[in-house]
Amino acid sequence: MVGIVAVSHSATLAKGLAELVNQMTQGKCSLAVAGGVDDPQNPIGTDAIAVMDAITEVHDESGVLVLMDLGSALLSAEMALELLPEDISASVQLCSAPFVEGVMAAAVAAAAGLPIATVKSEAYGGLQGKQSHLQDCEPATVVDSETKASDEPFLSFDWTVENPHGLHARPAASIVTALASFKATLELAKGERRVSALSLNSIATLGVVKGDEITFIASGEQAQQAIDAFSSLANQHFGEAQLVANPSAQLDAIDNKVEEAIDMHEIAGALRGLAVSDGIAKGPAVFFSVSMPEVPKREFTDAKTEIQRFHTALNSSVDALQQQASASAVDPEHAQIFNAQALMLSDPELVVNVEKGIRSQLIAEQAWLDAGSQLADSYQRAESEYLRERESDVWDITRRVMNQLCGVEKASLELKQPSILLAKDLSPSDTMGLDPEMVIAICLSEGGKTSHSAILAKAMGIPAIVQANDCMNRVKAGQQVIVDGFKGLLWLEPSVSTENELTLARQQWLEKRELELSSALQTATTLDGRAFEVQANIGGLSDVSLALKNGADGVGLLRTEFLFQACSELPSQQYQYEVYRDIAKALEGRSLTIRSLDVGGDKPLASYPMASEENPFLGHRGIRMCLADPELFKTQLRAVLRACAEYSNIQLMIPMIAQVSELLAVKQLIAECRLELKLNEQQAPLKLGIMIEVPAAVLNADELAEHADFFSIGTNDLTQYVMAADRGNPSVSQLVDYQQPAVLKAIELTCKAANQAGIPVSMCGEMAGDSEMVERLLAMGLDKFSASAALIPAVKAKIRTQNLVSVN
Amino acid sequence: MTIEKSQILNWLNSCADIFAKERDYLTQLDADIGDADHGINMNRGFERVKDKITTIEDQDIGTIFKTTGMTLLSSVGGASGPLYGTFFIRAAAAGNGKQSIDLNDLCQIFSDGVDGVVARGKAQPGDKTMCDVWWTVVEALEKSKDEGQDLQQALVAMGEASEKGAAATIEMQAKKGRASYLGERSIGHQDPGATSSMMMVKALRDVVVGQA
Repeated sequence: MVGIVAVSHSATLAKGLAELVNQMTQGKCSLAVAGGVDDPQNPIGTDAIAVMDAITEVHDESGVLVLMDLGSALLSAEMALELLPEDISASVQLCSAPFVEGVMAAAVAAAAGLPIATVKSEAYGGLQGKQSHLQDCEPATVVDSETKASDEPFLSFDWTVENPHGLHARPAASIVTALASFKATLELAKGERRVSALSLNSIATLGVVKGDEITFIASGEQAQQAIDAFSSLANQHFGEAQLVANPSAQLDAIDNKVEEAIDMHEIAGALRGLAVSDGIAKGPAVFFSVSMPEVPKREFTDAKTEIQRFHTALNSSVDALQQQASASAVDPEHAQIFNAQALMLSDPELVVNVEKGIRSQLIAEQAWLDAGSQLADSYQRAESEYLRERESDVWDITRRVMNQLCGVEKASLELKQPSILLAKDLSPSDTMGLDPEMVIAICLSEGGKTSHSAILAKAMGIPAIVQANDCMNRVKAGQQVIVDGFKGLLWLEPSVSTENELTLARQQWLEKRELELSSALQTATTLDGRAFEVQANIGGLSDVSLALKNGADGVGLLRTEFLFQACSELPSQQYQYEVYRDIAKALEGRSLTIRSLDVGGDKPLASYPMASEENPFLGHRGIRMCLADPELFKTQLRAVLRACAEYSNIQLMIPMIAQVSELLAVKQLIAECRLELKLNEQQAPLKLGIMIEVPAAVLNADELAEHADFFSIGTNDLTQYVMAADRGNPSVSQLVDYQQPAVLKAIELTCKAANQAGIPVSMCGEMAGDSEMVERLLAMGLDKFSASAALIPAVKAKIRTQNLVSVN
Repeated sequence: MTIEKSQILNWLNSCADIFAKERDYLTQLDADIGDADHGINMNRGFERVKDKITTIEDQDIGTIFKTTGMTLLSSVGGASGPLYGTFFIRAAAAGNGKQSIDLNDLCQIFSDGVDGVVARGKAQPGDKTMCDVWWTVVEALEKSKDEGQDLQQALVAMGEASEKGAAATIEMQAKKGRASYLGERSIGHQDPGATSSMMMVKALRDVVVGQA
């Protein structure tokens, strides 16, 4: 297949263009882009070496077509050709076609398997469709595509187009591909207009829509063969037979945005919903219904008792949510879901409403249910779709508190065989409780695309569809069904051929996933042979197995907050020691980086009351709090030292360090603990590193590096501190971006200081899991990455494509 | 008299220092008639060159030029990347295997390099480009060689020629690059690319014969 290379001054433009091409060709085009230069501060420019790499990446015997934006892009592309070996450069052509339209037209033609000469002429004609539509310039450029009737004898074939989107790019490409090889003059006519049937752009200018009559005209030696080929293609609806038969079956990427406008009629044998998590699974249906406990029939006691009763239930629900947030098994981002629910519960207005109800002689259960229903109702009537989808969160918290009030145990689902779960809606907590081994797919009759359950299902790798109307009534428990999470279909009675196709698609999906996971287990080694560790961020022992399955080379961040948040009392030294020891053991020799307690006014602890602060992010948190209470801190230090004496793969990391004296104070405390435990440095060789997240630490990095064994950059806090912008405040959220030049500069300074001091520098913030950032971070001298388990395979894959010689 | 490899390395380092110092000046020149990035680009490119050549100090002059060219290609970003990149890559041929160069070599190196730049940029004399400097520089070198001058004299003449070449671009109307969009309004400004070329040429003179 002809490869396409797009060269732009702007990496963003190149990336956006690639996005358009992939959507248009469904990823079938072999496209590489070279955009921008490697300078965060002045990223606009072109790089001949990058162009050369891009050409090499997509080159095969069909050749490569290179399109450029302007100016130095041309020179860089020419330079690249000169640098490439003759056997490659001979089959590369540079093309002066308009950048965006040209690349799109060329990509579609290349994806259709057309030869380079045709691909190039399609690129040149890239403006035709637009010019013919806008009619804003001399028609001369368009006329080229129209052919004139000649006197030669010809054959013709009439056809009424039934394709739902007319002859758009893909059917047009199938025509061009099927006819390219005939020795004949081939034209397509609609009404008065007659154009070459061998040009995608020309076909596009006809603007053929569903119901249009077209005529195919062939003359020359192989006219009859061409007519036969065309008629057979037409009868297969130009490769869209399935779509014509079931217009709603294939929502292709182009139509995704308008999917709600398209009527949702039914497909024979399947129910249609919205695809929210990729994958295909077949199995028996099981129903999962969680019901709201009924309001008990009991007498009203007195307002004070009822209110107290309500508050007890409310508080323990909030605690449970926070605990779930900190121990979130999937991803720290998802912890936010539970934190958000906890916030919803703590809403003062909600509390006021309940108390008002109680004062009007309602029992606590009734008052709570009323207030919850009222809140859910207001969300349901909200204007934004996002808010409407929060309705299920409200019901979830309402039910949580009702369960507490009525003494109902949390509903759980015990499955005996792998099954497909059907439900009206799933709350985030229900979703989190699912076992991905047993629940092989999820189908909801309600729920939204951005609902928290959908996000969680995706993170857990469970195929899922939502808004499959009526699925609860149309399916019987135990019935075999197939969920197609790619297309958003629930198949009840698929035809034999459909079922075969689905089985095949499932196998392909499983193989692809297997491949991704198995390659994740390999070391991430750059092209020039340097291996990098990609580690996991975890919140507890239960996260270890998922991390290892995703190829984690150890743990770069163990948050210890969960130990403190989960209990109403502070965890004992013994308990902490056991937890650290168990995790270190489960890692089988891979390194474990434990972060000491990082809480403050923003993350209150039930077991450790803290004064509320006006500005908790700039307040008494992290190491500041720990140093202020040496007993609290030393309990943790002792536990870590004891675990380290048994498992030397443990190291300790201190959050929120701003000045050298804090690090020295920690060292002093560790020395005291060593004496108390009689564990010298040989017995417990605990390495001590620091988080770099306070700007002061960046500026002090050289001196800190003299005293620390390693650095780990926490990009989330670093970003908000450097930019002085609160992550949670939408009006400044655009500042909270780790690609801000100032943040990148801070990271670079940190890496430089660490490299100079010869200590390893790792990164454990969100940025470390962004595979798009890998190249830049390697260039800055980062040594290690630590990210959420789910992101590790992609980061490792990206590292394997890097060449340090060229990034440096 | 010859130019030693150590002087070539000093020259490249000195270019890096000059472009760091003149970054804003070059960018300002470019802001007048172009896209205001020339100083930034040259500074970035030669910073990388400076880093890179420390690793190849023991190689021959040809390799040093080739590495310089490749580094500029991928780090300058603007049109001057492929142009200066081509200059050094083409210039490398005549420096291959050499630890020092004489006037003949220097003529060869510069004329090969300039041929490459002209082929890449397709500039004509008077188009208001860096080539307007390079042509006068190569001409001056050839003249010194034909007249039997020594290397020192040749370098001094070359430096003067570069200043003249750069100054001559002030009156020219741009035909290439972003400046050509300005048409007649480009007249009256010294071309930034010509200026950076002049700076490089004078830097070589200063490193070998001392400040003129």
